[in-house]
Amino acid sequence: MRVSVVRGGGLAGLVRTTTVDADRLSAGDRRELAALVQQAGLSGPPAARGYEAPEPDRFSYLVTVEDQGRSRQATFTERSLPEGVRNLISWITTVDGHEDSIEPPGGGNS
Amino acid sequence: MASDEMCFIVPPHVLVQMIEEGSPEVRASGIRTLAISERVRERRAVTRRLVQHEPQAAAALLPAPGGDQRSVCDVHHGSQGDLPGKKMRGEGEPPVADAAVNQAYDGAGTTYDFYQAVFNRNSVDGHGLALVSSVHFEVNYDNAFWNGSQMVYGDGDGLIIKRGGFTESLDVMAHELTHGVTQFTAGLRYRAQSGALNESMSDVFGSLVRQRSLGETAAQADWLIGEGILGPQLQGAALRSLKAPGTAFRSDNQPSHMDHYVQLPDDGDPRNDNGGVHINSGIPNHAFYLAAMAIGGHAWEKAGAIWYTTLTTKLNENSDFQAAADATVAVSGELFGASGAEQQAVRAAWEQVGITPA
Repeated sequence: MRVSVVRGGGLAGLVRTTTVDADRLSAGDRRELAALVQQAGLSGPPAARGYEAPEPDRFSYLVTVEDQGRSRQATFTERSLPEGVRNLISWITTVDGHEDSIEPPGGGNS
Repeated sequence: MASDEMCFIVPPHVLVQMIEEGSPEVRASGIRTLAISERVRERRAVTRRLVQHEPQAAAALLPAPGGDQRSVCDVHHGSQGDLPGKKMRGEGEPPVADAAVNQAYDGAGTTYDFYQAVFNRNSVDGHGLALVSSVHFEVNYDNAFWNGSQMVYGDGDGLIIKRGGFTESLDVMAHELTHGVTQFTAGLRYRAQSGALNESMSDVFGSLVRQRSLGETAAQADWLIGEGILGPQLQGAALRSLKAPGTAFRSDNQPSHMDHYVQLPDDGDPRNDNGGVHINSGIPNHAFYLAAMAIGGHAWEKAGAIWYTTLTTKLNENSDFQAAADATVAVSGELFGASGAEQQAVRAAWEQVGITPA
């Protein structure tokens, strides 16, 4: 399993990408990652959500879970971040073995 | 209480109608409903309309002016549901042990004084809105924002933003409070060019608040936003530069000319920044810098007045760069004389960033 979190926006407007690959985690962390993904509701089909007007300098998130050849993506605004997704994000961005990069918006297409 | 609960499902435009046109009882019910509404965004939209058309009704929705102009709270690393947190310092109270509290208090005060003294504006809403700030939001939180009714500051994570950086930076605090001013005036929609203008207005007035506090002329100012607050991951002097967009830190890619406008979709993907609002703001930012430099002296006195009048009386939620260029040229003529040096400077500034004013 591979999970990545892209965070955009904020006062700086920068894009931070954090990735964890379960193969590089300890056995305990691997189990915890699977549990957090489950609790975040990211192992099933995506839930329908309405449009939200963006607010100045708030964060937004794109979470991608790749597992056994399947990929699942979901976007969230900071204001409407479900508790389970919030927990997953804060775990991923602090666990030993995560990879981090930071770049301006637009990435490859700018 | 039953009627209040029922009112939660009343759409915002109906609430506005209730408040604008209803009998005294209906008005009171509408105002009370709105005041306790959890739906902050709706409250904000309705309050903005009311400030323009029904200032007295709007005043009832907002924290009372006078008694406690400023307060700073400690949210103790809690999240949005915990805001504002425990009050640590109110208006006129002496400094406390926590530097972040004192900095947020001073930053709100300096920004309030700027708008009052320079533009005769009473707080961000123009009607004495009490300025509430919360510090220590979440854990290692890399951001500061205006949530529609108050300021919120994280501590920084020490990597992207240095610890305590946000409240050390007066222009960052004034940038965020100016999002409040924009919310209550032009309401520039936070997407694509209107969003980049929203960002630019916050950078322009953020920088002007600091310039005035230091007594700097346009030529003396550094024109940086967030100078000295970056952590080791970003490697640079500041978050943005109005003088030289694209040079504030190592991978800063802000354009300073329409030839380099970054076309990004407004698709909710965090990589696209609502259509590049923090990227393309470099273009109007640089136009302001060029105008202020050409006019000379204290930038808030003339260039600032032109931009302020434009923001508060000429622009609307869908205004684009062209509309801002046209309006600032028109306003500079209204304020300082048609074809005067100021109007020529503003026109030339926009032309230098690739926009020809009407």
